[in-house]
Amino acid sequence: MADIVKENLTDREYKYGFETVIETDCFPMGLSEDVVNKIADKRNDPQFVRDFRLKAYRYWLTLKEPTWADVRHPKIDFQGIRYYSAPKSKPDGASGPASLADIDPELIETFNKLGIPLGEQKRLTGVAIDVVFDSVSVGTSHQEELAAAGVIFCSLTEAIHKHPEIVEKYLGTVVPYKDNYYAALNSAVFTDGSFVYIPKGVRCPLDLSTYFRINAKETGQFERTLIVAEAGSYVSYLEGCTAPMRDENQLHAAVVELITHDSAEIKYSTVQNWYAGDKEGRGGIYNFVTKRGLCQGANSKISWTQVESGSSITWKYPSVILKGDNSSGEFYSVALTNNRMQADTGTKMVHIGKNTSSRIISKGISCDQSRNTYRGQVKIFPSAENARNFSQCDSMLVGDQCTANTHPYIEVKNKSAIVEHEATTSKISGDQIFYMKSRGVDEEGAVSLLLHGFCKDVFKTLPLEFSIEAVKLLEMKLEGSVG
Amino acid sequence: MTTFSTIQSIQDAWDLRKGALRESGRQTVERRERAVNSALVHGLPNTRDEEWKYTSLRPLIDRQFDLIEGLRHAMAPVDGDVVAVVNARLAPGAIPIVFVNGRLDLSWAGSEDLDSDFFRTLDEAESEEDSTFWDEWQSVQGMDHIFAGINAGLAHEGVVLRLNPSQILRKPIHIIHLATKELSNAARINRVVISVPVGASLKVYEEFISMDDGTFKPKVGEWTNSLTQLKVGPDAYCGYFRILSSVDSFHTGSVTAVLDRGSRLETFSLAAGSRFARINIDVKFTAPGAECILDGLYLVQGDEHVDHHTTVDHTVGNCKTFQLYKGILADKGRAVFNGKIYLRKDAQGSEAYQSNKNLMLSSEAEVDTKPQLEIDANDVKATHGAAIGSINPAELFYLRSRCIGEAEATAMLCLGFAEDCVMKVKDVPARNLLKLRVHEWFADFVATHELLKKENK
Amino acid sequence: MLEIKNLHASVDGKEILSGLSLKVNAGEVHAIMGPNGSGKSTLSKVLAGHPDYAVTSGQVEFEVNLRMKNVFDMAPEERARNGIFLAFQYPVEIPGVPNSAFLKASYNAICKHQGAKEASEESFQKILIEKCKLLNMDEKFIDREVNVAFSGGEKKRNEILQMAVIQPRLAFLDETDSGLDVDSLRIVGEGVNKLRKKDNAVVLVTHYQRILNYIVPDFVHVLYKGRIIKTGGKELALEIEANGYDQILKNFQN
Repeated sequence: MADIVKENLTDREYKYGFETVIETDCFPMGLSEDVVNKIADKRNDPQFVRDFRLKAYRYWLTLKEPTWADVRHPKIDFQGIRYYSAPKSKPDGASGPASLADIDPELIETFNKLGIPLGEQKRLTGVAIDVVFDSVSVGTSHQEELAAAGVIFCSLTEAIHKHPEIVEKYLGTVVPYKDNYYAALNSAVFTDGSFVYIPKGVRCPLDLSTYFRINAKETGQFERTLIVAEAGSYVSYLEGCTAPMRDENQLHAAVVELITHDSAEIKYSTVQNWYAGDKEGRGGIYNFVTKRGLCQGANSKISWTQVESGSSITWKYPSVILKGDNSSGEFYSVALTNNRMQADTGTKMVHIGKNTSSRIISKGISCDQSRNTYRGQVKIFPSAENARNFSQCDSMLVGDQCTANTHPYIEVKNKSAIVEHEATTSKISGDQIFYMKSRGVDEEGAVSLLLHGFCKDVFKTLPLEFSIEAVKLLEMKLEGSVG
Repeated sequence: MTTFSTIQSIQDAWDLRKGALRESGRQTVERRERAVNSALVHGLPNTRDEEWKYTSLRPLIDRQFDLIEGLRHAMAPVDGDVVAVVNARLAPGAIPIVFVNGRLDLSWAGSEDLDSDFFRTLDEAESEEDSTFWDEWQSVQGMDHIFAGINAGLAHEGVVLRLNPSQILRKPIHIIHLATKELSNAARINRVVISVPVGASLKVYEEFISMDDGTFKPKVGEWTNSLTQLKVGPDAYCGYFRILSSVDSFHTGSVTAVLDRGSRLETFSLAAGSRFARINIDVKFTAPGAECILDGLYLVQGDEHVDHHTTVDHTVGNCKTFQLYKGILADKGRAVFNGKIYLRKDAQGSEAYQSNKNLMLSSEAEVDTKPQLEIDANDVKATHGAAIGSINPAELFYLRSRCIGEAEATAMLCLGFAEDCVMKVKDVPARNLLKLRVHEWFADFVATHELLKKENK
Repeated sequence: MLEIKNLHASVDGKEILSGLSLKVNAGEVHAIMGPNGSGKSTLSKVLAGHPDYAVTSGQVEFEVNLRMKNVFDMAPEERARNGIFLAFQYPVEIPGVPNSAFLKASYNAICKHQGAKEASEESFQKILIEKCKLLNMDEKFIDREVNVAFSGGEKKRNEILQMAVIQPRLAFLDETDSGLDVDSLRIVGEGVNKLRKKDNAVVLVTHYQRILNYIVPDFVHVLYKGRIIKTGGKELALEIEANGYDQILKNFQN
């Protein structure tokens, strides 16, 4: 991630909009039971995965697209999408490159441009990276170091073949294929994603990171990530995303499932910078993602941090089910929308166990003609004695054409609960900028200060390097909207 | 079939009603028909509808209330001492307007204070060719809200109050809707239209009660569908204080308010007894400089279900909204609060503050709250908040360390929580009336809840 | 170091300054007094470059590196970096931004402008604490959000703290004394005095004589209808305090 954003601060245009010309193996457009079977064939799926896909596909057929989110887009033609695309350098097509040396040099060049060095000699210190290009994972670094600690970090495809018992045990347990429209679709056609398994008592020695890239035209990306943290373990996982600039919209419908056992902790951070479309709202990624964590064990913890600055439409509610007693969930979010972007994002905190606690900090920044909606649910079950929730949802409006909405749903069924929700709205005013200018700070600096001030509760939860990049990314996006 | 159950039953009720209305003039029939049609266009709501996510109409449908029978009952003579009951409830110094089982009781309305020109029955008003009235009639925001629409179409009786410009009515008007046991299993549908023109000032209490043989908790089980329209003219003031205290009742109430330039509206909705209540309050600012106070308190026990949905629409600039809703939930009670505040593109310079606070006394109770801000203008100040909790142990301990028993201390804290928002009511007589009703509710509540009973020494 | 010649300025199309002239040399203290609406605040805003104020004619020059430069060629931040400081009559609240971060950004902008090394977090913290001590201010100021939930007096003292950090050559204090209690007034007055040097100048815009007891002016100007109509020594302020503006205005109108 390191240099992705630094490069060119002054250029507000999307920096990762280039396309990689690479030979790909892709399916024709359209979706049918046959296509689902072909995906399973292509990937040499074991029977349990194939069954999961088919059940999901048949269920999906019975569903209607959800309409409750505060987003507007033309009807998606699900027959106008390719459901499989992979760089053609793999003879077997299923299990990924045998080593990073097998990767097409064109692809390595792509990731160098994105600031993700894939070559072993250049790899980032302290971070293990899995890279997903269109439908498949193209390589994972630092394998030996992780293996020494007993950590499994690989593509989901590899995990399905090498560790089927773990995958079978957990796949679809947190986000069942019946969960929602896009989760059902993903369950039917998912192609790859990351898999993490942290054994009992292990503190993962490296931050794990997955970098997602959509390249091929008319292709949907349906990756699926599964992270299992056994009792007493800890992992910090980072995720970054980009896509080329294209005039048409592309669909990204991912599923992420996290499971923590007793006293385990997963920290999941995302910097999402999919292509957001141009000023008139043409093109961009439809980012319809289901992310959910299950605090299965007592004293376990799941923390989501997201910086959402891309995608033409974001529909995403990273959630935590607090099942284990004393478990806790956190959601920290900065969502910036500009031009004609639409974001409907937030979280669900479902309190089931005793003494469970959750914390929601959401910062929405809307600029230009964008729509930015926070939608969150806090649910306290009768069993959740002494549950605690605190939510703070702040909106900042830049300019007078944008929209900021707050929709918290609070459902409490236990009297010992303490639930608090607060929301405010503010703006970047000309007076504030002028005041700072009159103290010698230039406009960029003034905006940056305001941004830091507004988002600091979220930024401080990100790993340091990620946080610096996130700030720069937002500054870059804000430039030109303030003034 | 005119039993409230399906869209068809409402349609049938309207077809029957239509005949009786023909005499009142074409205008009435046409407008009422339009109202019914727009209300029914979306069908009967269910919990898949965002607006009805937490409130099912099932209990109302199961009771098989008859939309037409209600009318017949309204005409029947009533047992019992209505005069004594009404007198006992009437606020001191207030002008009474009394509906008994949905029928306007003109023996109260004939009081000297009311023979002035600002009082008319809905019938009288509807048979006049008065364009001002029809404007007011139409000012029902969200007429497609099903119960407002049913009311506009089927209303049996109602009153129209319209002050003169700059008229300041010092005495409050106390509208009492009384239900007796003759009304059980019937629907009464009443409409109140209030217009406070430029520079005028009016205070109204609207109260829903029931009586039977003098027991403290009369169980009548009536369904009231009320619609109250408030039109507040330039620089006018309207105080509207609403009290629902009919323990076994089913209640669907709609209040709509339209505020003109520089006007002020102060409202308070007290729900202190109703088996099933859904109250919609919609406020719309139509010119700059107006201000609205939208407060309320719901006290929910037993297996009561009370749902408040409020909407404030800032379509113009420089208006202010202050909203505080509080609730106490005991036993298996359930409360729903949904407060929407829209700050539209042209609402620059507006302010909106919204807060909803709930005190949970039982783990079998449930509260579902959804404060909601929708902001399209950047130069605004808006905050909202929601809080849910139980008795604060630190406060309880403090009181106990000052010699107060646990039960009494708990009761004190509950009453304090409830009174806090009542005390904000600026108008002293209104505040006293609300306080009295809250105290009445509490006396009964304490008597029936071990948790709160003072230990006897 | 500052020369204003025949300055005309307007806001929302209404002319507020109508031919104002003023010269300020290094080491001097000027007080500008005048009834409400005479244009005092407009003058401050125009000098700092507030975008709402339009200059219709006239000149303002400020000495930069021993040469007089046209102030209107400079953006607000450039003016600030070159040494013009405006203490706001109504300091702006900036929720979320800590005073320390704000002051550091400001300080480093000036360091950079002067070609000096920027201060590290640590060394800047030291500078801040030292400035707080110098001005007799509570160090808690540093960690609070800029002017948020500050009392009127605290806001004004925060302005002086900024002045201490920025060390301007020309400080324009726009009604910094109004709304202050006696103690705050003393702290602000003494603070400004401590920051005075022979190569910097102070212009006080005020309604009242009382702050002039702490910061003794060399010149007192009376502003009326957008022009300076009378200039005198510190005794002029005492005269206004005693007799009001009536006599001066009458003389002027005759």
